[in-house]
Amino acid sequence: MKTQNTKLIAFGKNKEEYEFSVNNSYEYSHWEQKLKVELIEEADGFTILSCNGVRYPVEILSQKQNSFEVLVNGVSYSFLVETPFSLKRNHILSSQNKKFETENITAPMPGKILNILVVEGQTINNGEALLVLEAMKMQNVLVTNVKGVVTKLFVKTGNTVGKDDLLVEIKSM
Amino acid sequence: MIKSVLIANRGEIAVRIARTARRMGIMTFALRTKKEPEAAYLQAVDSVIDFPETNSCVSEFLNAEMIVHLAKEYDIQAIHPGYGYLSENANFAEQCNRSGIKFIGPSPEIIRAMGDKIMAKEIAACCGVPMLGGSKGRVGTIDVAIDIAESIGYPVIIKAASGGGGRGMRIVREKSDMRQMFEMASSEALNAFDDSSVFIEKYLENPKHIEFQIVADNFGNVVHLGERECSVQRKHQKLLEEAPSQALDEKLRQKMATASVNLAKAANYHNLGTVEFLLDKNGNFYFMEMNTRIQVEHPVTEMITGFDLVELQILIASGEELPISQKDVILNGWAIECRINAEDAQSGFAPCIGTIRNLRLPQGNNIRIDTGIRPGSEITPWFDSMIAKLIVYGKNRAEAIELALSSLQQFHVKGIKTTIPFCKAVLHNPDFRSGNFDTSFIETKLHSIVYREEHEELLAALLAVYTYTHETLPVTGPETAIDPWVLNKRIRHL
Repeated sequence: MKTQNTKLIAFGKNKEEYEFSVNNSYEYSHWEQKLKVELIEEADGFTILSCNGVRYPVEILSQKQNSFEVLVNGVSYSFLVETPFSLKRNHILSSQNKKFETENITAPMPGKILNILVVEGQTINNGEALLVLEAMKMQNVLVTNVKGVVTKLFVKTGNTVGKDDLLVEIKSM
Repeated sequence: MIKSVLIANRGEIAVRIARTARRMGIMTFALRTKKEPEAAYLQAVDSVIDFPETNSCVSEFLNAEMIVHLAKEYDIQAIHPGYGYLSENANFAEQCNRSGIKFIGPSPEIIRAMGDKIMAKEIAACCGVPMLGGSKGRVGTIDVAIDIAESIGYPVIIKAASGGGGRGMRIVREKSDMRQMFEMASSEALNAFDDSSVFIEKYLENPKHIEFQIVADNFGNVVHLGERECSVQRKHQKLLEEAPSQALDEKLRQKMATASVNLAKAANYHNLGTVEFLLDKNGNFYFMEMNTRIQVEHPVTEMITGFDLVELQILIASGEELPISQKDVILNGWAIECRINAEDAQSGFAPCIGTIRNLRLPQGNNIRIDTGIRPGSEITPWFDSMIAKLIVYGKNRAEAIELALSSLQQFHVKGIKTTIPFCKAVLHNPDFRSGNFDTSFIETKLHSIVYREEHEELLAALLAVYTYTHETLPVTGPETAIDPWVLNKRIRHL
């Protein structure tokens, strides 16, 4: 990759964009502000991000190609690293796919399905209860945040599920 | 005096109990389970007993019969149950007593009476402790539940008769929700406590949660050690506690303390106990329940009174007289406890599992850390998610808040997400700082569930871009690259 004044954009979950120009792989600038960056691996295994001399404890939780999940001060952030061109392409692609939107309800935590309150084909409103998940001996009601039709149920009462397991698929209206 | 004690618990509380017991010259024993054979608490005791393999699917620390059997086999004089597990199990206390082992806690009769929330309310009512209206005794059917709710007015709260720790509790705001909530409360109660019976109480909107620590010996001496403020809660789980409480003036403190001491006297209570109250905005307080064990948040009381509560427990269980009287109890300064849980506050406090790859703990005066983990510890779904407690002490509340914040700044856990950023958010919140908060604090006043430093998101973006460029870059950058013309020449000269 060319490193003379490359433009890279970190694109966040809530559509926030941070543009950096990269020079020689250690000189970064954001909105004309120069950032001197260094990633330090400490002897005890902690990682420190030093930016213009200020140190922050960080951790890279996961990296899949250009998709990153990082931890700064114990708070996690997700970003896609894009070039100006690839970002533009993604915007165009996502605007074309809007028409067929399916909402996947996943398990927010590992646990056991105690009760399923909907059936396939049922029309549901925003805020309606879908199922009851027991985790750490607490019962949690999972509700939908979209209006639509339940297209598929992936679990049965009594199933044990892991974090982020697919539970219900809803086609939004 | 007790000579040996079996700690029938794990994690930080096992370490905590062992620390005091060893200082008192008592031989300490812990139980090693298959689920965490290399846990940190095993290092804190003098002797480790391997829990034998059983076919039973209940947790080892709930296996009353086996624990009593092991204590007998190893000739141990007493059992300390800690909190949770068998700590409020009257049958276990009875089994201990029958086998000639001292149960460090109140008598089985008191545990039974206080464990049954309905009976506890009856005792409290007899000695004039204020109470919220509700059902007289158990509520068997949904129809009865609806009748009672209609007579006292919605909202009402359904509680498990043998409940605790926020489980088996549901708030009902209108009649149409009653069926679902009633069923959920009783099934949750059945799962958690093996008893599906529930009762109904008027629900107090947004009260403060204040509890009083009392300690009583077998000679009729009852002393209170002041209050704890535990209003920072999520789904009835306490997350941050302090002592004393800003909401209490000396007059109200006296009134609530007197009610707590009277209750303990009426119940013929002995050993350590906590009387929990709800406090409304007008300074009216209502009895909620009494806990017959050491509490998770006991260190804040220790910090402001200077007494070791585990030591008092052991002394009383040994049959000694209380070494302190009420006039020795002076509430001095301010203490705050932050619970550090292996939970992801950013996704609904989902439990995090994994390995603690490394730890950095804050150090300094007036900082205490109670923990049961160390680098290499596994966080498994088998056990509670609390991994550490940070307790700080200051001359006043403002000083304690500042120390808590600077300590959290130096508290780093690598490997799993923790509630440290959440605790920072609470301590930075202006309403928390001014003391203007109640149990609805997290839902209504905490606008950001985690604390973010200025430009933190920018830094995260920068880290992602930095990593990306460093991984996709060729090892030879433009500074070291050889001009192709030069290279061509060199090749020809080879």
